[in-house]
Amino acid sequence: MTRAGSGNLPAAVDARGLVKRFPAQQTPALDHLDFCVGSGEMVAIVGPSGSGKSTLLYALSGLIALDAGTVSVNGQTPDRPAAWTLLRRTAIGLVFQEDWLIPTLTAGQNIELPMLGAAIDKSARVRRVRSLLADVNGSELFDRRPASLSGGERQRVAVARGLANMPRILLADEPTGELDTANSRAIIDLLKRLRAKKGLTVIIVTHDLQVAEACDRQFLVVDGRGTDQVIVKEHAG
Amino acid sequence: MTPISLALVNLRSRPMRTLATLASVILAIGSFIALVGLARGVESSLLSALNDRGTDAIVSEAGAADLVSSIVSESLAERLAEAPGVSAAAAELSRLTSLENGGSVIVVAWPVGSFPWATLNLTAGRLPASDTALEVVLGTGSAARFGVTVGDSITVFQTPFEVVGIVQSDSILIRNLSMVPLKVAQRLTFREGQATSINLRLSPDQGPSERDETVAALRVQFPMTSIEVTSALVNSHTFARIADALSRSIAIVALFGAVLAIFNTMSTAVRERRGEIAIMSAVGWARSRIVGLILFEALIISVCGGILGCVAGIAVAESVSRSAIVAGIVNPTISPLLLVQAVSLSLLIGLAGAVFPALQTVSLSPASVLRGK
Ligand SMILES: Nc1ncnc2c1ncn2[C@@H]1O[C@H](COP(=O)(O)OP(=O)(O)OP(=O)(O)O)[C@@H](O)[C@H]1O
Ligand SMILES: [Mg+2]
Repeated sequence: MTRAGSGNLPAAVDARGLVKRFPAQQTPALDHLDFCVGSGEMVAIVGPSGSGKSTLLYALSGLIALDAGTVSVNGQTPDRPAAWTLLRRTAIGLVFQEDWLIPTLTAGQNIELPMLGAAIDKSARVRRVRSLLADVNGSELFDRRPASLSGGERQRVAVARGLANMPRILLADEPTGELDTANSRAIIDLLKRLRAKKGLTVIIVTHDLQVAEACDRQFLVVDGRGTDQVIVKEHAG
Repeated sequence: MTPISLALVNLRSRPMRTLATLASVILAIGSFIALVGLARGVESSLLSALNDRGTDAIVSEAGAADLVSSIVSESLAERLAEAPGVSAAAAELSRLTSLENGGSVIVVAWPVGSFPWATLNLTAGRLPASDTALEVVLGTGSAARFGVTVGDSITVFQTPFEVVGIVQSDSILIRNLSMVPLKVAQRLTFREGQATSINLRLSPDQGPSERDETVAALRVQFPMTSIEVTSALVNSHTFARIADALSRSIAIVALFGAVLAIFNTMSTAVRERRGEIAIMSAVGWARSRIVGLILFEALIISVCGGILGCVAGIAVAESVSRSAIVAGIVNPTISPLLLVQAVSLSLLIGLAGAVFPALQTVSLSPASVLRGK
């Protein structure tokens, strides 16, 4: 397997031999897939619909049980659901393909939710929510409920929620799918800034060529099998 | 946002369901408070009535279901009065009799000059002058209910009596009694020579253990009777026991109903909010925290219902005790301890109803939920 562009950095994510077979499915969703991402790397996962991209992100965050293979994150290999939960609370941020905001909560409260799970101090929570919303160009969304937001606004709130607990790794499933070029650019710039400042590792599933090109490298998933696709660019560090 | 406000948001998002569940807890705790309070009121009014008239022990017919249905010979009083350790004995005939207006009144009769009369606290008038006088002494409550005062006339046992005295008492039962001379009551109810019980006053110089010995000796000497010290008597009183058992069983049914209501509400909520719960798990909420949130929501409903149920129960008990049928007989006894018990019960209702729905969240697989939007 390749480790392009991250030779001298420790692996943030190291997945080997992943197999996931859903019941009533002929071909496995993940088929002996290897995927390694260096710390501070920004990788785009691309591939046709149904090829297993979302399933891969779920596997990397411990949200599904694998039939085979191991996943280690920051050098740890969680073996119990509780260990995965702890990782998602502290080290892994998630942005889902559908935004999955909680309809009864405001945008601000949705972003606060992961912090509540991590028992972060109240005043710190509010401050962080405001600054995250500002980061995704959504300061005015603080008090709005998801039903009143556009698809793009919801995605930006979902990205802010993914970053709420200041994760070292962000797993984002098409976070820019509903965004116009300018907002999509803004999200990518934000993630790059966070990478430069905090060493954030970013793994983005995307169909958007611009977003994919903005990443260090592209990882192609087809029929549950993965290959590195395009040569890596230098990343600003 | 705090964990509390998050739980409140969730409860507010389904206002009708939350209110209906709250109502069932209020109903359960309210009936618990009202029923147990009223049943205890029956006991305590009996007890204070006996204590107030200076009666240490009661002698009644062995095997009688309760004091009103017991029959003993009036002459038993004279023999008891001579027994060692007994300072006085007074025959008593009590009747629960209905009035013209449909209400009921307890009429108690003692021989004129016997000790129960002397313990009464007259606020107006006097005691009956002779064993044959058609004269009645009323408790303040009875006097108010009949709207009469000293000098007026009332009909008891189909016979006009003159009200000659009014007595005040701490005991709600005594306040609502009508008291007449024994001989008169016996004649008018065709119970000449009979009494329902004998009130005993034990020699005041005896300690508790000596009193027990005296009572034990009396039991041997008078084997056909039942002799009870007054406090124990209240416990064995069939009416009080039935009231207690009935109230408890109705309350238990209501409490189970509330547990089921909470269970239903919380399992529906967990089902509806699978997506939210999956998200909480996906953003790193520990399972215990998610389970805790669901339990906490249930506890908010059940404890609020418990507190409101206490208020409702007190209100119901008060209004029942003022209603025509039982007015003056039962004074609800709702102690702070009973209220604490009720609120603790509401806590248990919440936990018992929510524990299974809350644990269901643990078996939820976030990935499969989040996929199927
Ligand atoms: N919970 C599940 N049960 C059954 N089949 C599933 C489940 N999750 C995914 N699959 C199947 O696994 C395969 C990969 O799905 P996945 O969602 O990973 O695709 P994807 O690459 O993310 O597609 P898209 O680009 O459309 O989001 C698909 O064939 C899908 O139907
Ligand atoms: Mg997908």
